[in-house]
Formats: sequence, structure tokens, C-alpha cells
Amino acid sequence: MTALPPTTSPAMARIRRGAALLRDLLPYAGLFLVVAYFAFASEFFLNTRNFERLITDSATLMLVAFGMTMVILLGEIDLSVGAVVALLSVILVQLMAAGLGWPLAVILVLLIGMGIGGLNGVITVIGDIPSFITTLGMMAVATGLAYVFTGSVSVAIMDDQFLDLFYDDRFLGLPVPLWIVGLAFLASVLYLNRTVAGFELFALGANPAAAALSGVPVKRRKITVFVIMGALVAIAACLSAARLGSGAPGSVPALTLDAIAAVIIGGASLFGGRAFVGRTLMGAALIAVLNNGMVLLNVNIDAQYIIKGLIILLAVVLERVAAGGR
Amino acid sequence: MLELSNITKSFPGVRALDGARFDLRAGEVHAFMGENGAGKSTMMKIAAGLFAPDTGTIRLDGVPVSFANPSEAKAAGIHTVFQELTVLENLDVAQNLLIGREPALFGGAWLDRVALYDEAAKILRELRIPMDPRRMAGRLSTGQRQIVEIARAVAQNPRVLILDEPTSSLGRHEEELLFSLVARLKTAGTGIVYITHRMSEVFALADRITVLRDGRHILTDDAANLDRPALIRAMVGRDVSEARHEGESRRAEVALEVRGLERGADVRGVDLTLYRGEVLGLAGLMGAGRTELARLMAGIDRPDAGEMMLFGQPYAPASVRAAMLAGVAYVSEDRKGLGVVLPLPVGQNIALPSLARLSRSGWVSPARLRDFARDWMGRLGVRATGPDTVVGTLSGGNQQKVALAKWLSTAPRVILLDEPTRGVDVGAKAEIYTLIRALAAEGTAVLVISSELPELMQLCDRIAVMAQGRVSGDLPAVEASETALLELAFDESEAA
Ligand SMILES: Nc1ncnc2c1ncn2[C@@H]1O[C@H](COP(=O)(O)OP(=O)(O)OP(=O)(O)O)[C@@H](O)[C@H]1O
Ligand SMILES: [Mg+2]
Repeated sequence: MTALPPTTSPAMARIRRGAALLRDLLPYAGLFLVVAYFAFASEFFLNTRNFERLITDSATLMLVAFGMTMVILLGEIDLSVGAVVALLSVILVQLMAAGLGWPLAVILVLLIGMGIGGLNGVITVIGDIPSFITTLGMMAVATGLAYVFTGSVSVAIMDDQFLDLFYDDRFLGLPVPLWIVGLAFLASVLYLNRTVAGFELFALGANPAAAALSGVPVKRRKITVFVIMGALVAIAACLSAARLGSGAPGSVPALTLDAIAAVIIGGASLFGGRAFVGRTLMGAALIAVLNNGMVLLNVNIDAQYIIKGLIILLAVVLERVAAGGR
Repeated sequence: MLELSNITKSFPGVRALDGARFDLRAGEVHAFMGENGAGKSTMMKIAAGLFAPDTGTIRLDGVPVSFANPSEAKAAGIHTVFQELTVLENLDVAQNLLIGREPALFGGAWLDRVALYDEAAKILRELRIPMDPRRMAGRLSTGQRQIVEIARAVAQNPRVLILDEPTSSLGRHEEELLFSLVARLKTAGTGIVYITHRMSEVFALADRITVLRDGRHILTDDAANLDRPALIRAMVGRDVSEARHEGESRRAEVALEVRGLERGADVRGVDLTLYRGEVLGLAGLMGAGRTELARLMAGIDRPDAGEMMLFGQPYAPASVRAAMLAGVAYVSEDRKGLGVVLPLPVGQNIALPSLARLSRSGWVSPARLRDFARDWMGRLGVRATGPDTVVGTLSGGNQQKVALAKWLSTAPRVILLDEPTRGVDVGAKAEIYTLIRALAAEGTAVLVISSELPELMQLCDRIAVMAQGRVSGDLPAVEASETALLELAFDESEAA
């Protein structure tokens, strides 16, 4: 709170400016470097089919990352997203298997997703519990429930119409998942930069006390963000289920890590008040390309984690140095 | 002893210092004056090793020096109490006092807690500061924190002590404490740089005065050779009227009426009536319960007992938002913690409480927001490149103007101003007074809490005084004198 005045010897100032520049460039430069590298390293990387696959594969990550951007902007975090996507995809499949038509099933899943997000929000905000803890609990509950619902086996989706719509179909020549991601991106950008609620989030994240005194309905805004997160997670679950053709309880193990990584690579501050959907998009693209490329090159899964982990650490350190340490 | 010459320093987009100079002799109090954003703090941050100058030299005892960081300056005997408080809220008083030089055992590996509290208690006793070394700094008032900060510097027997607006958040007792500290240091031969916007202090304390304007040196002279108008002219570059506001309180329509309001030990049965179109001052000592009262009116806290009426309607705001919607606005005395959001741009800060008005069914137009902010920046004379400038980079006084603009722009029916001109220069103060008067003339009811009695006497129609959680009396401002107000302020503290 009581920040020491920033120490700015010229050397320190130069280092901080450098870090800020690197931080701002990281998503773009990183993406460029990674694409260039894989283009050289793998003959399968640079072609339209792989790119389309890459985009549809990363749609889940993108949606969740947009939501995570807002959560992190508040200075909060959501660790439950991966588990909830898995749970919701299982529920979706079970609902359809039980004979419910896909539109109704999707709507129900959307509502459940918003409910879970809302629950995260209410417990965090009303209970005054760190979201880190709340969502950690939610993660465990969701994972457990997913296994309970399926009995540990994955259930295939029989509804072709659903599979077509959420995975195979094209609209104006582009895959449907891409449209969904595009719409969600646009909505997120507009929400944060053009609406009263979104505007207030920046103040809320940077100085909650001052925001409250300015008449910002702090609790309502925070809970709303968690509900939005829940909605995005639900849509992500539909896309994920369609892509896998099934609902599997352990379907998306790295999603939470990847989503947080995308936001951090996008230069957000984990202390709140600073986050950008546009840069998160680049960060998510970077992660998606890494995932895709490393699979093409047969990099084993442990090494993939290590590489992604290092990138996150780099991004976090850059952001802290640039901010001058609080 | 300490001499800064031909100092230039630029920040992105602003030239804060432009060939400025300053010199300090041993055993003198040298007041450093200038408008908000003139570059005073920047100059002293350079002396303290916090910033490196772009050009210019620093000499200590005639020898050119350059400090890479504040520790080097401290090693040379230059200690600073910055305008931005640096007290750590999660530590206690003793730890704050001795931070960086904690008594240690085993070659510095083990904190000697016993010695820590002994040492701290000794310092506090020597400086005659009544404070418990084990108290958490987070629970101290702003003024007490300031005292801790000053004590920390004084305890190290500085050769040069730089005080950047030390009294801006001090109560009367604490102020006297500070003045006696300054006097003692002076006789011990310490050179003291004293930055303040309070004219009365300058002439009471200073031996010499240097004035800075727009980063340039304007004058340096013995305080005895200067008078108030001359000093103001040097600072602002024109004359500023300091005449009292004349005119009687308009007591036609009651805006806000408070009956028997109580909360904890701070507010103990307050009766107060605020009329439409009047500026009511609220005087009192630190801890008299003025801020606590305002917080009840603003919907931040809820009273234990008593009632409020707003324009004849029962008024019991459940939140700040509710108060705002009812037309009551509150400008906090804690600018950094509660007033502005430092990492956000000026525009967003000003517009924050007005977003509802600046939007159409929830949609904000950034262009409109910027125009709105620009308009209000102009009205209050906020010195910043534009609405996109980050508030955290503004000078202290300009941050205060942003905090004011933010609330004045909401067009409230009742506005509660808690220390509205803290850290604001004389010229800007006059502008703010004019603005407040204009607001009142339009029918707004204004409550001004201030520890500066001259300010209240100049600005207000009527002055109420609080003591020990109660209103001990009120006077028309034209009849009020400092003595009369102080008598009321000490009223019940004597009896209690
Ligand atoms: N870290 C910074 N980054 C950018 N600009 C800065 C920074 N620090 C100061 N400035 C600018 O330098 C100028 C001088 O600021 P400074 O804080 O020295 O003024 P001041 O004379 O102390 O004013 P006040 O009386 O309001 O405290 C201002 O225009 C301010 O916005
Ligand atoms: Mg200053």
C-alpha cells in the first residue's frame, strides 16, 4: 500500500524501461519467434490444415483466457476453470445422452457454468475469502463431481448436429469455433473499454478502497466478473466436448495453467488494475502455437510443462521489474 | 554546506527542473516554496539520491558528490521525509523507526527484539513523542504516521534534514512536536530544508526562503526581507487575494440535518444543521471526530444511534453509492488510499463517479469522457499533459486537485470536503475557494473540514467546532477568531 517512492537511479530507470519494453513486446515477439521456429523445425507446421486445427484446438483456451483477463484485472484468480470445463463437458454429454436436445443441453450447461462462476464470486466476495482458495476448493469439487457423473469413463457424443455445429461447420468460410472466439473477444474488449462496468473494473483492481468510495458497487462488479467467467467456461466446455467428440472427466489438464499463462504473457499484473484482452489474445496464441508445435515435434509432455512454466516466470519477472517492484 | 546548482531534470513529457539551484547552511531552516508541480519534491529527491539529475552538480561541503541511491545520501548525513509517506503498515512503530538498522545479534543474522523495543522507546522518549513502540503502524492516524517518519529521520542525527510538506497531515499537538524538534535540530547545527504551502509556518520557522517556479529559481532571500504578498507574488507570478469571504449565511432551506448521531467513541451525539447554499466549516483538533462524522454522512460507516434528514427526507445511506445517488459526495482526506487511483490516468479518475452520467445505457464514450475530464482539469487548473497522464506521476498538489475535480464534477447537492486543500499551493487554493463559493452560490451545501483555521475563516460562512465527538459550538465566520475557535476546540477536552 504505502509504496516507497520508486528508486530511479539512471541505471535502474534504464533497466525498468527495458523490462517494460520487453514485457510489452513479449506476446508479439514470442509469437513471431515460436511460429518462425516451428516453421523451420517441422514440415507439418506451416500449412492451412494445421493452422485451422490449431485455431479450433485453441478456441477453448482463448475463451477461458478472456475471462481470466477480467478476473486477474480485479486482482483475483480462478484456478477452477480447467476442472469446471471438464465437469461441464461431462454434464453436457450426459444431458444429451439422456435424450435432451442439444440446444436445451447447451443452455442448461451455460446456466450451470454461470452458477458455478457466481458461486465462486459470492464465496470470494461475500465471504471475503481469497479467490485463490475459493477456486482451489471449487477445482477439487468439480473434478470429483466429473468422475462421479461418468464413473471414470468418457462418454461419446451421438448428436451429429451438435458435433457439426460446434466443430465441423463453417460460416462464411471460417470454422464456427473461430466465430465464437471472435465474438467473445469483441464482447470482452467492448465490455472492458466501453461500458461503465468495465471501466470501473480498472479502478477496482488498482485500488478497491478508492473505487468503493467513488460509488463503484464493488461486490456486484466482482461477482459479475466471476459469472462472466462461468459463462465463457461453459461455452468453452461445449467447444471442448465437440472437439473431443466426448465428455471426459480428465479432458483438459493444462487449461488453467495455459489460461493464466496467456494473461501473464499479455503483460497483466497479478496485483490487479492492469490487464488487456488484446494482449491476452496474443499470449493465448503463443501458448496455442507452442502446444501445437511441441506435439508435432513429439516433445514429451513433461518438457512441455517446463517450457511453458519458464515462459510464465519470465513474463512475471518482467512485469514486476517494469512496475518497479511494489 | 549543501549546494545544488544548475539542476535540470526531465520526465517523459515534462521538464520538472530547468537550471534550478538551492543552497543550505548549517543550522538554518531554509523554506523551499513554489506552486504545485514547480519541482520542489523533484529537486529534493535529487538531493536525497532518489533521482539522478540530467545535468547540474551537487556539492557537500564544497566537494562535488553524486549519490547513486538514497542509502548513499543517508551515509553522507542527508535524511529525507518524503511527501509520500513510506511508513510500512504491516510493521509496528519500533520496526518502522529502526528499519534498515535494526539491532542484531550474531553478526547481523538474528534480530535482537529486546534491543529493538528498548532502542525505539528511547528514541520516542528523547523526542518526547507519546507513542507505544509496539503499536502497528497501520493503526496509526495519518498524522501519527508522519511523526513516526520524522522521528525515524531525526533519530539518525542528520546533517541535512529534508522535510517535504511535513505538516500537511499533522494535528495541532503533532505540529507543535514537530516545531520543537526542528528547533532542537537547528541548535545542533543541522541544516533543514522545509517544503510547505502554509505561509504562516514559513514566517514562523524559516531563516531563508527560496522560491521555485516552473522548475526555475526565482529568488533566495532572508525571510526577514520578505513579506507574505511578496512571497506569493514570487511563487504564483501574480497577486492573490486572501480576503475573507464576506456575506451572511443563507439559512433558508435545510440541506442536511443531523440529530444525536453516535458511533463508537469517535462520534458521541452530534447535532448539526447544514443549509442549502452555505459553506459550513468544521474545525477541531485531530481525533475530535470530524472525519468520522463525515464518513457517517457519506454512507461509508453506519451510525450506532441518531438520525439524519436530507432535504426533509429521512436519510440513512446504506453505502457510498446510495449517498451518491441521494446527492451527497465526500472527498476523503486520505488522498492516496481512498481518493484517487494512482496507476490510472487523470481522465478515468475524474470520471469514475460520473460514469453513469457520461454513459448511455451502460456504454461509455471515451471521447466524451476525455472532454469531460479536460473541462474539469481546466476548471481546477490541474497541471498535467492531458487526461491520459497517470495520476501517480503528478505532483502532490495536482493529485489533490484531481481528487477534488472528481467529486465537484458530480454536481452534488451536498458535498463534504475533508482537508480539501492539503498540499495545494496558495494560487490554486484561491482558485479552489472561488470554485467552492461558486458551488455554494448555485445552491450546493458545502461542509469543509480543515485543520487550518485561517482557511476556514477565509472560506466559510459559518464555522462549527467539534471536540471529543460532539459539536461544542458554532460561529459566523466573520466573527470567528483563532482564539475563539481554539477555545471551543479545547472545550471538553479540558473538562474530560
Ligand atoms: N516520476 C515522475 N514521472 C513523471 N513526471 C513526474 C514524476 N515526478 C514528478 N513529475 C513531474 O515533475 C513536475 C514537478 O513535480 P514535483 O513533485 O517536484 O512538484 P512539487 O513542486 O513538489 O509540487 P507539490 O507542491 O504539488 O508537491 C510535475 O509536473 C510532475 O508531474
Ligand atoms: Mg511535492
